[in-house]
Amino acid sequence: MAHPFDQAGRLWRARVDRAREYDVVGESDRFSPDPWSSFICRSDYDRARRLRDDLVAGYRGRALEDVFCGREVACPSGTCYVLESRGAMDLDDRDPDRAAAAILADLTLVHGIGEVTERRLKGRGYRTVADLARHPLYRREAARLLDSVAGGNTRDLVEEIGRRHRRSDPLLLEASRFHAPEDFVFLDIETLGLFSRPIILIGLARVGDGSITTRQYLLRSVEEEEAALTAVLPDLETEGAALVTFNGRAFDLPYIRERLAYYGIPAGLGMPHFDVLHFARRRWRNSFATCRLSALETGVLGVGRESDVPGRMVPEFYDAYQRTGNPGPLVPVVEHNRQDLISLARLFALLRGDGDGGA
Amino acid sequence: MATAVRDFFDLLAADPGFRERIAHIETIPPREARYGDLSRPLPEELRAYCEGRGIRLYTHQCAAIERLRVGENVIITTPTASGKTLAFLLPVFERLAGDPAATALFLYPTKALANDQVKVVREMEQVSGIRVDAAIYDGDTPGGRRPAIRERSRVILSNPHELHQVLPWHTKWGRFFRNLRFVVVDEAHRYRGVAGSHMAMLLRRLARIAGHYGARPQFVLSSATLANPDEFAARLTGEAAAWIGEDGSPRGEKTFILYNPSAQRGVRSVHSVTKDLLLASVESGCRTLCFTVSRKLAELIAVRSREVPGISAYRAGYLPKDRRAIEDGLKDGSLRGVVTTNALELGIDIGSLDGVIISGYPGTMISVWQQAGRSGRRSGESFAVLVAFENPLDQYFMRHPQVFFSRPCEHAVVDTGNPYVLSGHLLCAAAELPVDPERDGRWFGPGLSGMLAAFERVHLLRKASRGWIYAGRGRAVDMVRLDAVTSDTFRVMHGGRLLETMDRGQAYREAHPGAVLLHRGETHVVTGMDLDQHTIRAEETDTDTYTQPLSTTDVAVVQELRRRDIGGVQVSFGDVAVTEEVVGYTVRRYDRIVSHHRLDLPPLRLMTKALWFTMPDRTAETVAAGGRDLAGGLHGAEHALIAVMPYHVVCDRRDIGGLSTPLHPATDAPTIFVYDGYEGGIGLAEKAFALLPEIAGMAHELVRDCACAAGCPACIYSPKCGNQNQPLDREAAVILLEDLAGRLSADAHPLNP
Repeated sequence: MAHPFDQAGRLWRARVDRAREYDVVGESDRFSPDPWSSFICRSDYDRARRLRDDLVAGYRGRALEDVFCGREVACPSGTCYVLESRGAMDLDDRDPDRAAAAILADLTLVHGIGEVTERRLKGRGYRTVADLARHPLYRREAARLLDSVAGGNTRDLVEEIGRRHRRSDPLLLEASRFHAPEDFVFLDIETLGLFSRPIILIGLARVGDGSITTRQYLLRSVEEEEAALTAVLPDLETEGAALVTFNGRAFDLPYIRERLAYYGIPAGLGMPHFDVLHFARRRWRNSFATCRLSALETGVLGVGRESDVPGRMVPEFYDAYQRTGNPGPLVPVVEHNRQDLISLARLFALLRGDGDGGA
Repeated sequence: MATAVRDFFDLLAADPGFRERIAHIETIPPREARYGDLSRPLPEELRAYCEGRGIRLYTHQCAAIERLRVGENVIITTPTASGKTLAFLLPVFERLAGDPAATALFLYPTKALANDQVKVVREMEQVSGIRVDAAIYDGDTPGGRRPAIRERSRVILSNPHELHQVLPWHTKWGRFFRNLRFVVVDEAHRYRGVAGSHMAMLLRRLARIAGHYGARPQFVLSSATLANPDEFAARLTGEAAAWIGEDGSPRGEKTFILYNPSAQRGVRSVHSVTKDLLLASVESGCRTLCFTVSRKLAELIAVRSREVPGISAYRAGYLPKDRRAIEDGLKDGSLRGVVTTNALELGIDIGSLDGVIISGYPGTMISVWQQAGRSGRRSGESFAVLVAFENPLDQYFMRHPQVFFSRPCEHAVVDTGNPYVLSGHLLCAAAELPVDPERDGRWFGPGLSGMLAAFERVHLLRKASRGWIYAGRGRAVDMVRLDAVTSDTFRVMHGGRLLETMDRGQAYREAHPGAVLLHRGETHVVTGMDLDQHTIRAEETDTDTYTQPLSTTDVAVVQELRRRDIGGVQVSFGDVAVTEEVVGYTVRRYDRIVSHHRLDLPPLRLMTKALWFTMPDRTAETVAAGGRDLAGGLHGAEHALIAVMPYHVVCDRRDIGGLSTPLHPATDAPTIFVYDGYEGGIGLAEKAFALLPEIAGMAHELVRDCACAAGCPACIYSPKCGNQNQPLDREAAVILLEDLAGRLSADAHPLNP
């Protein structure tokens, strides 16, 4: 035995290998609408395991940089590796007037006004929040909202609308029209688990000039995590940036916050955040068995995926790479993440009704 | 009250059935209160609290307050009911009143105790008006209430399991950790042995996180009386602590009776005798608590006591509301007797009691005094009875009462170097914040860099710019369980219902196919065992039989770490592999064997630490020359040594294992092994290695002084022998132990450094 702690190390390794944060279930149990459901159906599981083994065989002896054509980015905390791709994509241009009109028509956004009061007020000629600036009781609250609208302060507006209504309220999508397409940062991360473990891939997408550009910070080793986090921070902290995610309120953003705190990196991350999952659920809850991104992709966008890896199994695919150095298992992970980013942006556009000549 | 206690004594004296079993009566005299003064008064609000309750501070309470005021850590070891809680609550509240951001964390070993104590904390909060928003944060806290507690509460009551789960979420606890001034560990003596190793590492993780947020909390340990409070506090918290041990509280007179059921011939079991005593006490009008050594016995004695109303069982595993009803029943007098496991040894408030019956030596003097301290509060007479089992140690105490009453409380062993516990918590720590070998060396000891390297080899940690980071895909805190080193558990199912869970060893021994299993007064028989799925199937059955496993054990020396030659005896300490095979079992009815059965189970392997020593050839020859059996003598000596070990080292008899053989391949001589019953070892054999002369001396006296002819449960019979106590030769054991004790004591030179 080389070292007194090797035996303990092997014990913990064996225990980590046994740890699984999902259950494999039969076809008939496929019911959960939750995108972070801990169930994987048996056929998907078996297919993914075969895929992983095939990839390990197919990519034996190849280097990561050789399989994924990217570039190295240097940060003060080290280097990381980024992959870029570009495709066609359009979002409607900024339309502050339309956004303002939609928001200001909703009197219930003013603190203290419910639906009944709104009806009464509208009957008395208060058609918009702007009209309320004259109202003795709601003057002050209305002025606060008007300020946010006039300043295009989507961060406060999103919070306010989310608080007064639901996080799925279409008005939030209208509020996003304060932003130009270049403002949106589409974000999706892949991790080694549900929390308190490293992020292994941070995917960002930006839209502009009729195209969508994805940037994927793929960790060649988990020690590059800090560099990758530092590298994406400027995107997230830019003045005017707005975040778009799928379930990012519950997962991606708290996860990134936790990892930043883990490394002691200060960050505000206070940008406005549009979580497409909420809008999608509201719109398609009754149309599909589940509102997972992959299901909507097939059902709404008509995109099919081949050789996909179930999100829950990403950790073991990465672990296979981490332990063998064979980049094969990462191929579907990177593709999965890239596809998620593109579908996220397309769903966002679809939910906003972009391209319908709405402007 | 006093008359009820008197009535009970009169009853014992009048009835020969009771009287003749009394081995000894010890009277512990009453004691006056000693009050103290503070260098500067408590804040007005707290003075009002004390005055409103007629509280005058005892000397030890004042000492604790003064020490905590000047920033020291303290360990308070005064007895049950001496006002330990007040001794730390007052200074904590004083600080929290002066610093409106300051926070404190109180850790209790059980949720039940936290639920009991939160009432005391809230009362102080309400009466003093010092706002701390005291709240419990544990597995029962609803998710919706958690954020508010994290953001607002200044005194949080929790338990080690919850803290273990909370630490990875420290970013959500920034406010609390940044302002953390006190960490109170109540019932700290509970954290010894393996539990202590885990607690020590958990507290280091906590201090590391607090340090990350710029806080350095003071530790307050509230503990039962121990032999080594300073060492214990330093091991557990990693820091020095002031010891507050001199009790200033008053006491009424206590009568402590040693009671030996086997002093009289008869068929009555210890449990029946315990029941008789309990009924006699309750019928004399005494409010009585009866402690048993197992859950099964608590149930059994309570069931047998049904003839008298107002008696109930109490143990872990009951629903919280049922437990509270029993606690309240004791307090308000509607219950007159409660039979309990050590669950009520903890400081749950049950009012003052007249008497305590301890059925079987609970394994440590710490527990004896904790349990005996449950009767009799500030004034008035009370009693405690220790009912001896027919095992060597209990019987030794019956024959040597002066040893029992002069005996110091045990050393609390906390091994902070156990590689399994240490590395498991290192993994958790690395998932909480990157581990920097230089900065974090103080928490994880000199083995840190070796551990980091070992973890890198198995791809669980990676070195990054800010330190070593966790790279596993499971949650680190889910890998490490605080209650045992291994988390290899089996589930016992009855139909679709989970009866209980047990570890692999226990499952092989107690729940193998064909085993009779007792659960809440019901008998089950095991019908199937799935080793891959870790599932055991049991069916209800009505039988008066029970089963006992037959097993074989081998010990192989892996590496000898230390060796001493004491008077010609070679004593070694090192790593061993213990292999146990459960090869079969017997079915018994009333201690009579009904049938034998074979089993085919894979071996259980335990990598642990052991001490072993060989017998000189000449001694073996003496045994043979006297026509005695060497193997039987070695076996008897081994049992006696293990039986007296809890006297010298904090452990339960079940924590240690032994093996003796007339010829062992590693030593080529007659050899006795004594090993820790935990993967990796927990420091018991290591301690016994240092104390072997004392252990051998006592084992020799035990066997020599026993009144039996050829060995009995009181000397060399072991209640947990895997070989049916065969072979055993008492005379040979006496010769071997005399020789061993003689050689060891003749050569009592200082220990190896």
